[in-house]
Amino acid sequence: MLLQSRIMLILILIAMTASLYLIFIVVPTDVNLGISQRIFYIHVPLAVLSLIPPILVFATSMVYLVKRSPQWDAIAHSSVEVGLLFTTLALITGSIWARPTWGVWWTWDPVLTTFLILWLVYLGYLLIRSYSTDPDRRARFSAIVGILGSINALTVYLASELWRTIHPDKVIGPTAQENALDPSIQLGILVSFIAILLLFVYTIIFRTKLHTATDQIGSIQTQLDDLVHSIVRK
Amino acid sequence: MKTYLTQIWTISSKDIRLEIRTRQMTVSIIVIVIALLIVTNLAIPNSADTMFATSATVIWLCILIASFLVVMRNLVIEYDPIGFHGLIICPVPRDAIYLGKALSNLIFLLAIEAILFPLSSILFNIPLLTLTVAVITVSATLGIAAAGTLFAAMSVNTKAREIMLPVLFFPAVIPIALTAIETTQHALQTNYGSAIWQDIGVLLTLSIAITTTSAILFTFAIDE
Amino acid sequence: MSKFETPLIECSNISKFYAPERALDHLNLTITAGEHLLIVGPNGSGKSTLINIIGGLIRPTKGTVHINGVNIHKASPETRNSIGIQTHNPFLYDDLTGKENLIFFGKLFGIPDIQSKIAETASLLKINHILDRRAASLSHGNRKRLGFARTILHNPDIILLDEPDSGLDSDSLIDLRETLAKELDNKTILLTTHNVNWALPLATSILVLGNHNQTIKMPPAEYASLQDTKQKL
Repeated sequence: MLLQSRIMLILILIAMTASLYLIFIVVPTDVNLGISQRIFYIHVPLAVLSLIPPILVFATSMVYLVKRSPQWDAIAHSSVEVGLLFTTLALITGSIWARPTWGVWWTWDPVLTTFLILWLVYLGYLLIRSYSTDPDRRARFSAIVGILGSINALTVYLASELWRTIHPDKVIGPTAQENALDPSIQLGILVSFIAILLLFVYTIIFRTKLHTATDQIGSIQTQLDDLVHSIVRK
Repeated sequence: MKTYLTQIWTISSKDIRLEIRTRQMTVSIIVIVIALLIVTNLAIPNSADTMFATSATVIWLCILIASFLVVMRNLVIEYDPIGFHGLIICPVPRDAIYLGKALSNLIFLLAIEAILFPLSSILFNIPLLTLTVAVITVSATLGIAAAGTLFAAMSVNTKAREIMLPVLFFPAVIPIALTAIETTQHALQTNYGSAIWQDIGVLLTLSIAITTTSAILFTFAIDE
Repeated sequence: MSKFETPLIECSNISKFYAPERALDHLNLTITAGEHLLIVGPNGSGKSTLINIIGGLIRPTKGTVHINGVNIHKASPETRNSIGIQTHNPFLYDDLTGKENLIFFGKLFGIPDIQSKIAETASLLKINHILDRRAASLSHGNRKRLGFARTILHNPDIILLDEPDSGLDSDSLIDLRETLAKELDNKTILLTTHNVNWALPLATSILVLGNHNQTIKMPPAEYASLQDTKQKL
């Protein structure tokens, strides 16, 4: 277990180093957006990966409500935590890019607004966990919030299609134009994406194991309590 | 099916009868909404263009706040004296309980909007009383009532219900509200074209998706 | 096999934790059709919890409840037709009249001729005079009686009553006991009470819940004899 974890961390380190090398040394400066465009190599993977937790939460929450197994609740919980982190970083890196380009830290562009809504949904999920004392109710309510919040996430992608937006045209994804990017830029995005994806996967696995271990400790405590109680009764 | 629909209507009609008898909720909320309209009108520069540009936003903001108050009140009167146990002991499927409460929430909200829209039409001097605006309003209010009913049912069950409901409710309904604002704004133009119907289609799809999902999830929200 | 031998309600290994307390702990109980079980015990022994679990209002932390072989917590809503439950809360809407409350629940239970059923139940329980009054304006005792009317309106086979006698005057207590003993004698009744002397004549068996999750089921005669011995000591 420890070896797998270490291998994963080494892979992340290698990928991150490669990514930074490509970003700052290899890829050319964008003609239109200038040097500030380099933050895209961090921002775009963060933003894209922020959309994966809703899918994970949706699926694992549904499974939890059917099977009531704490393992699925742990995965959903971890996905939201990581999703909140990545969405926060996506919003921050987006703002850092926006300031020199648009002249403002923030604009109520539909894509940005919906990412902010996603951030609020994640926060709501974690808040309802903290306000529920009963473990079963906590998991049930979180699952409900997770499922409905995930539906909200669909509007993130729809927003850039349906509403007017000043967000740059999508150059990746199913609706992106073909051949919109220079090959070295494509490589830069790909390597950055892999590096941040590895970090994403590692963090979710790590947090899931932590939550599962916490649940197991609680379960062992209850069983011990049960045992003591039955001895006392006899 | 007939029994199912009868049960939904029995629950809704009970809420409506209670509200007609007490008038505790709708009258108070209409007063709050009118106060909000006045305050926002005073805060906005008084020109025809500004009024036109901001009216849809102001109206939907008022509806969101009214929605929060309606769903909270309608679930509190169910939960506080008797909990959901009063309905759980009956041979009523959980989704029928949900649909009954959501339907009464929808009716209360539409009643409030029936006052709000004509009043806004006068205050903002804009053509709100059209079929297109009515379709947008009903479509969006359906989704808002649906999400609100589910989250209110969860919130009344927690320690900090007054905090939990807005935290859950507002992020969940903002996409519907944003779409409703955009489409209402388009509908106020004289030549809005057929593209508006695509937006209305999205709004309706989102509302129906939220209603269906909420009806299924409600079982888990009140299951003890 | 007589009706008294047919297991109707089977509670297997029921536990309910309200952390850190245990309201119920590994309780096993079988109730046969037609049995009148009186549940007694000190405050906090889990009487109300047991009624609520058997009635399907709350889930046990562990264990299952089967009624007619069906797990009550996984059954379809139609199984509620055979259960009538009255807890501490009579489940009445304050701003509806007594009659409107009964009509509401009657419709949800799908009772075909509600008006005549309400008239019949009101006559049986002598509550005609409170039907046109708002539930909020009724005394505690009258709310309990109206709640009891709601409980038996749909003619359930199983009646669960949590302290149905609390708040009732002496005449109402006698009337309630008579109704349970005569009109509802063929039903399976579980009731909790602190007023054992009032309920003892109704019971065919007694379940004693102790404070440390001990449980014991015994016939009424044995319970009465134990009480006598306890008093003498």
